[in-house]
Amino acid sequence: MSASDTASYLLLDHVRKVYVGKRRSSVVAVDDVSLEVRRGEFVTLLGPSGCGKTTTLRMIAGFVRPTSGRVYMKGSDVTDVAAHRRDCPLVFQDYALFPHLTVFENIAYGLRARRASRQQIHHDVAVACQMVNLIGLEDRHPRQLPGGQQQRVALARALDLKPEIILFDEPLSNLDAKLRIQTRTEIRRVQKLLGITALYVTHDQTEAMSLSDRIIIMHRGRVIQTGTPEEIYHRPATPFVSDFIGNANFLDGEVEHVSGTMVQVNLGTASIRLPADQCEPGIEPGEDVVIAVKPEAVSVGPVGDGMTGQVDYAGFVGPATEYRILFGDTFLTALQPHFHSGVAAFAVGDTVGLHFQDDAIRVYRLGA
Amino acid sequence: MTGNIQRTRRDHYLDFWDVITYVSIAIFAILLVYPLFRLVMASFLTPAGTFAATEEFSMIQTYVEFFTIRYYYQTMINSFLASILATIFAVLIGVPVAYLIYRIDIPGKLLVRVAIVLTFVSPPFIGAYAWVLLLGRAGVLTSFFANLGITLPSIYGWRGIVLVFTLQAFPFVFLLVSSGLRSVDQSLEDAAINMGRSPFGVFRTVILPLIIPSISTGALLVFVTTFSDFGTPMIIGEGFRVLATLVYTEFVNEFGGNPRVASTLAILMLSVTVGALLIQRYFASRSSFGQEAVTPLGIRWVSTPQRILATVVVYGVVIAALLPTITIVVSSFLESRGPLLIARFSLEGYRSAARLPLAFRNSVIFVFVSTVLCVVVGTLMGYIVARRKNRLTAAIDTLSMTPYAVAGLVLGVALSISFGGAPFYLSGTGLILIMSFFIRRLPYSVRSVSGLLYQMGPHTEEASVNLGVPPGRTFLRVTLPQITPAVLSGALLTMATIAREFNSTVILYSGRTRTLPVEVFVQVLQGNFGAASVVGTVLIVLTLVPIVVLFKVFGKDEQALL
Repeated sequence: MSASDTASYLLLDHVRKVYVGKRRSSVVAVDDVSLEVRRGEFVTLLGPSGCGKTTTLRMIAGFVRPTSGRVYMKGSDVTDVAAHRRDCPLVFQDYALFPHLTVFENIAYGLRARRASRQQIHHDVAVACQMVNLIGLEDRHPRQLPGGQQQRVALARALDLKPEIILFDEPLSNLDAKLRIQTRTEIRRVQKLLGITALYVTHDQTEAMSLSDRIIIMHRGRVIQTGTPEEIYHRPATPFVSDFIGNANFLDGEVEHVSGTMVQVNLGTASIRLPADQCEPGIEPGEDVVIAVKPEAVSVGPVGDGMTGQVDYAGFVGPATEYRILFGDTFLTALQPHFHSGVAAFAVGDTVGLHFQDDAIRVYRLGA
Repeated sequence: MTGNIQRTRRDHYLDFWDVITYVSIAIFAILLVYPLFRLVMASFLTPAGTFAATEEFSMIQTYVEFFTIRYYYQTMINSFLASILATIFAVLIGVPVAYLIYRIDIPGKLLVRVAIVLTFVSPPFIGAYAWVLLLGRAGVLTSFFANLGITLPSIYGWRGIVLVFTLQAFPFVFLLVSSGLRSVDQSLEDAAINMGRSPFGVFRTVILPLIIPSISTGALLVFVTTFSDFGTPMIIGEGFRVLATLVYTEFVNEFGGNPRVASTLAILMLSVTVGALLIQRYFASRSSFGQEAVTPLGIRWVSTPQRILATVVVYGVVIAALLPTITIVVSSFLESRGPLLIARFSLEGYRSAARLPLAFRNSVIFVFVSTVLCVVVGTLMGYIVARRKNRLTAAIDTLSMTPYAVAGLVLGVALSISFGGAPFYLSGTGLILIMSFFIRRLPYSVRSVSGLLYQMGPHTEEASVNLGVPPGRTFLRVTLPQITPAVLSGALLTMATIAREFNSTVILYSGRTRTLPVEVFVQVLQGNFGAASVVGTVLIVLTLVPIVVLFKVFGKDEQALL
């Protein structure tokens, strides 16, 4: 990565943010983060609350000054540029609409700051309203609108500046579930239509998966993994990512032997064989490992010659049945869709056969 | 077929709360509605002391006189001049100082808070008297600069009044703007910056419009308090007479006789303050956005020269505001000979303050009794307003707003006309003073309790009733414990406010019932500056006690003073 790379529209180079508190205690909010967003790309910073993703975003917007490291936009270093000169509109989590201004004036705010002409403002606001479907609401005040429409005003206000880079700080977290799905489709549509480079912050993995070209997982101020949604889902780099993207089951095990492309892991009550590329590289026999397997990759069936467990709880969760199964001395969660052929229902207390979808298992060194 | 349904016990008898409702109505009727009615009636008296219009006099004779005789109407013009100028200056000082203190990391913010508190605990005219000590004909600063050959502008007349009014009232603007700023969310500023506004542009286009309601409320308070304040113009006005001083002098002239002029003037003053209140409320309702901040505005990082400049500005104002109090306290420990103070330490003032013990005792008794009444009655009224909604309690809610708009001077005149003479003869008694303190301060207690109850919601009380505890015991065991801290902190504030109350006291007191603020005033008018400082210092300390407890025990800050 280099600053002159024109393909990197947005680039963070070894950025660190340390907050110094009282009595010289300090908190590292963002620890040596480097990332790039290419032109027209939609990238999401995903992580639990407190992972440093919002601080990272605010450093890009210029509200927070990095302790060290540089921020580049469109190839130039903006680390020392004041926030109001950065030209990267941010869609805020609480929308931050100006309560004293009408919808029209809210959307026109940025243009007025740039001393645009009257005609220009009227034209651009009309276009923005059209794009996010706010026609007819221009004279309302924000508090007179429901959350979904406030959200769209916030989006229109950002789009009205015809930005090349747009930032989102959990913009959907205050909407109800249905509206959230609608709006995220909307955001993706507009972003593609206008070819804007977008950096999106969220803690919601489904949102991240459905919106992004690429996802950057952050944890404790560091970047843990970067990849497409498919890569992140299928090949999580650490147990943390495994668990964060769809609640993994974790089982302790010990590597029995490694032979060529296959690895044998002893789980205590059972032993499984799986391809080596699903294990952390360089794993050796005798090592303690933890294996992660997603609930949707655990299939439950009649007792066969494989592993067995005992149903401890069975709950109907709509599209699937969720089982908690006592396996050895730990519990496993299994998610069994209803509409697959040959799926039988089991009751609490039943002994069942278990099968892990081979390619869905990941093996990590203990302590990774 | 309904034979097996038993009639349950009827629970709708005249309960405790109904009694409270009727008593509350009676209190307002006696202490507010009746006196104001008498005041209006008195203003329609003819010079002959009758209501019957004759060929010589119409019923609005006194009003006609006011607007045609220059001696009268000039005071109205002067009052508007002084109060409007003071309001403008208070806004021009209060808004920037509040913003700078809120946003910039200025060292020693504690000193600022102390200054604000002290201006609130001193009686309103003490600033005037202190500035006379500093800038009067024989003032400390006047002499000092005269020795250097510099003649300072005179403190007497309208300039001095505006100076004192501004310094004494700008804390209203300061406090309201500070609290207004707390309700502006940081994300709004961020959004404005993100949209490309410079820091000043953000202030102009976002922050300022959002604190306009706070500014206008603060401006209203400055206008109303200065318009009805007569201590300051009395002490330093000299030839510059305002409406408030005229009310006082006419009241004293007419005392015991036909109160037509004083009551007419009081009605005119009431009209102005109520008018200002209505205009401001209309204005504020149009510019208010009821926003609440999730993350309030934070400290802004500025360059060192900017920070130094901000510190200098803030400290300049703070020192000017603190100067009167410092002057009073210091001069109380100096030797004095009439109006002259000698720069030599002495406790003689305290030893020889003959009337101090009486005034002190009176103040303590009145403050205590009025506060207890306010707290007990105010809590019960606040409860019925919030929880027993019906037409009567709605009326109580409205009535409890009214005393806000009635200046102390106006209420004093009204109470004196109503209860001073036959058949009550309460003139100059402690009772009439307590009546005035009680009704003046009651609205604050009612509002704070009802506001808190609204905010709490009825759920805990409903839970208690639902678990089988009757409403009366629920009030004692669930409601009261929850509001007790607020009630007690309100009581402390009431104590401080009543201790410094002056404008109504001065109308109603007599030699036996003089309070500390009255005693200071009398000593100032008699030219005994040393004695005035001694009594003033005692008063400041007495007022400070409940405030310090409020801050230390209840963890409140200066925002509680509003």
